[in-house]
Amino acid sequence: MRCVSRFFVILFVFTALISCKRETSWDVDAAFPIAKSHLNISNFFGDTIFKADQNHLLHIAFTKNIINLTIDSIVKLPDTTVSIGFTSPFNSQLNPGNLIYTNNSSSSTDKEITFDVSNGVELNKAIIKKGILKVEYFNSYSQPLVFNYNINSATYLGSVFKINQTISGGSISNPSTLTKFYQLDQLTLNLKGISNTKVNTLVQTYTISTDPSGQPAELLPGEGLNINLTFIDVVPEYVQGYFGQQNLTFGPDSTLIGIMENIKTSNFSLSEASINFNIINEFGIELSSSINSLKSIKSNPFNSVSLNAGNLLQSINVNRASKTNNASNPVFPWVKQIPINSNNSNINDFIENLPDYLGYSVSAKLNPLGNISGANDFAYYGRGLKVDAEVDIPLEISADYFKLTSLSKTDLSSISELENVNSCDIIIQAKNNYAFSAQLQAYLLNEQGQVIDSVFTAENLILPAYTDANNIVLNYRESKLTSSFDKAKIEKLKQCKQIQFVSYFKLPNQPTTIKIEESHYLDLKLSAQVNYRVKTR
Amino acid sequence: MRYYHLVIFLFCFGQYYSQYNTEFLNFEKTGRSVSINSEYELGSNGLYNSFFNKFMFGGYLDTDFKKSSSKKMKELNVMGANLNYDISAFFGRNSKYSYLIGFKDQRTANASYTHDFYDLAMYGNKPFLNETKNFSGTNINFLRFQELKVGFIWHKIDTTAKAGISVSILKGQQLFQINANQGSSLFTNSDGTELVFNSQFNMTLSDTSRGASRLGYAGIGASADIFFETPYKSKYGKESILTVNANNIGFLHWFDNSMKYSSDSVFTYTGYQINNLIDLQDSTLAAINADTIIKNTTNARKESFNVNIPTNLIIINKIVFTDKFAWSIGFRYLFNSNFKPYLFSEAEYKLSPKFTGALHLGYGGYSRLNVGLAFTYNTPGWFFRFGSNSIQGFILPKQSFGQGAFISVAKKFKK
Repeated sequence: MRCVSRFFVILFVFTALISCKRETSWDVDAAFPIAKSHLNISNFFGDTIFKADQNHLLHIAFTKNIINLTIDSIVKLPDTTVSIGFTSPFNSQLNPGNLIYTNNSSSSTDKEITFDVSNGVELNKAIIKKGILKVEYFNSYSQPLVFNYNINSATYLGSVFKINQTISGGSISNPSTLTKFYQLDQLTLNLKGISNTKVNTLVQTYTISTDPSGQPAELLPGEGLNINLTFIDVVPEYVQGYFGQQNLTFGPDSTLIGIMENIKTSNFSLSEASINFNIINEFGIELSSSINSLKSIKSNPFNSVSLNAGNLLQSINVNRASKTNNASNPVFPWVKQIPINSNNSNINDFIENLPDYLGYSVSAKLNPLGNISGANDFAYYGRGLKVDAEVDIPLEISADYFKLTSLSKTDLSSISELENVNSCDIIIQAKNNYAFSAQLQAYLLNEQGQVIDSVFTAENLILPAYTDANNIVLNYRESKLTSSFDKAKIEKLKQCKQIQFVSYFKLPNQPTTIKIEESHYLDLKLSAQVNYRVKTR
Repeated sequence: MRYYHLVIFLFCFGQYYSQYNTEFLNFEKTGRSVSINSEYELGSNGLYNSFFNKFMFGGYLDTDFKKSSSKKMKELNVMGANLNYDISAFFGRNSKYSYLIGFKDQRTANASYTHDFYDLAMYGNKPFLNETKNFSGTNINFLRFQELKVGFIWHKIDTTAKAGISVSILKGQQLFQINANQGSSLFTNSDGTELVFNSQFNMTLSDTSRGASRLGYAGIGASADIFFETPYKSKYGKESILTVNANNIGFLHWFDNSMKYSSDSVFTYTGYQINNLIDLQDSTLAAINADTIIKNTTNARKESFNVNIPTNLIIINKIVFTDKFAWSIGFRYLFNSNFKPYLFSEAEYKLSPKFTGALHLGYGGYSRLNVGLAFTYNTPGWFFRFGSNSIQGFILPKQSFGQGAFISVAKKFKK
């Protein structure tokens, strides 16, 4: 048995050795491509803002909306509540089916509903896109009552809007209540009232009678039916009338351009630039408008340049649109274009500021000449007054350099494989067909935004293409950049929470301009050579 | 002359067939008993034992070590490992036959690999820029399964011959197979910016979610073992005995969620194409990952399939010269694996009535030359055996190929 014991001791020791074994590791040197790209200037900023002209010169061309005036800016139909109904002043014995009250008598004062439309707007017609009529009923009579209600001036395909509702019986102390909601969508409203000469006014008729299926009962003083009618969230599809002489102001405010905020430059100069202001009026109303100020605002460091274009942007008379009588496209807009360019303004200074915001202050007056349309001003839902700034910058430029900065969030702390990287070379092979050189750098930032290391410590310049004295590109040039990561740097890479990319694009032979053409490109190949410790257990 | 005697001695010394993954071979000595057996063998004909020891016991493989481990490597090499343990019992009351019941866990891994494959795995591709590394013929197979076995041995067919048979139901736990066909290769250009992968390969993977736990199973199957032993008269010695054993004759059926990949295309990878720097998002970069690349470049499908398990064939001819000394020669082969035909000789010398020593000498299999020692302690109540058929792996790990060990303990039933 002693042998058996020894066997098991040996077996145990062997098993323990196997199960508690240390890891096995070795180093491999791997070389592999990571990414490649054929870049032109549009890949840095977005395809949509670049256009080539017939000479293949690239232009930065984009449109920014400055003003977008819609129907709710000039006409607002407020939520409106009216109370109607009948309360008996004396006793009366009623049988089923008896009429108790109608407002269709000459003495009734609740035949019309008037909307309190602000800013002196006087509407004579409206089509409702969407809206709700909330009706609350309070019946204090002991028997059910029938409410028949018509908005005589609200029609849909020729039919008057009607409500027929039976409300169960209650008492003065405990009236029977009922709340109902009715859709008003697509109703056409005649807002001229009973006399056909008023504005903002609807016509209504209603009757209150006992329910034919009810029981005979006495109607006591104070008993009856009270109704609250509330027009809620009425959005017009179309309004017509006189919109008044409203004074509208827009701004001072600013709109983000979102293209140039990451660019800094030195001695930047443009050959030319232009902004076309397009005014498109789809309202059936005249306006007088002024673009009081337009500013090129660079936020960091702050600098503001006002556009000086003489009187071109002052006292702009905007004519009214006209109707097409085509329901799917009901308006002929009135369009006016005001070109601002290097000859009639300081547009070059304005653009050379590399604004990230466009500041503006605009004023407008509706119906400056009064009600000359005979209360036929109109507005359609989804149609309005727009002012667009159409910017065009030919890329024939001079500058010492452009500095492009961007931040990219990163978190490599969870990538366990980085632990096993002993060292790594990231290699960029570039083929540059642009006249400018590119100096690349990327800074590793920690959680507090502090720089803890930089990616390139040695050569980081992508050389410019071969050019002649006029900066015309003759041929591309190749460059190779290597960024080396040792263990310490990889450790910092794991601590890194953001990478700040800073690129300098340096222009040669300044102040000679360079032309950036459609055919220019920068080919990049990104590859890695990694010494990696393979570990197994 | 001294070496001549040594060779003769080695080939003439040995008995007690162990490390052959079968219960029947020991029956002659254990009779009806309950036994536990465990064995492992590991080797390659291209890599020294010291290389495998690093993987078993841990450590760092430096460049000198990697070079010295592979200096005998040929263009195409094999390696393999088997690890089995079982508990089994022969029982019964009939004098002519006994029943067998047993449970066994089997793990088998074997591979065929090119020198180029080893180079890439150990050194990476950077030292081989502008070179094509050939994978043709490389394959890796790993299989783990458990079996529940029932059978019987007929031990008095004609007073001396024996025959046995058993059948097993198999629980498939894990399967991994990858096979690089003719033409498979990897080319790295001179600056590492282009990889050309000629991917003539297929890969099979069992459902890892089902086979992950110890009791989980990703497939089922069946197998059979057959055993035959007969003495005969020959002009050498007192008696000769021919033994034929084949075990693991069967298959495993892997369930529906098993994966098959195949690819027969040439992929040139020059980096992920970035079309727009401002649209470079995490999701774009996420496309550059191994799963996506495998999914996009292979014909991946989930399906059930059958796989034959490695079948073990052993043929032994034993000559009993005296009551103390016997000598046998044998042949072993593992079908459905990378095992090379293995020729061996075993000599046995009875050192005392209960204690026997055996010497093993063989060539082939997963490794090359194997020398082994085994010791047996056999009493009327107990049977113990331990040893190795590849003891050279423990003594000269830096100069030898292959290693292994086995142990058997049996408690004999009273007759």
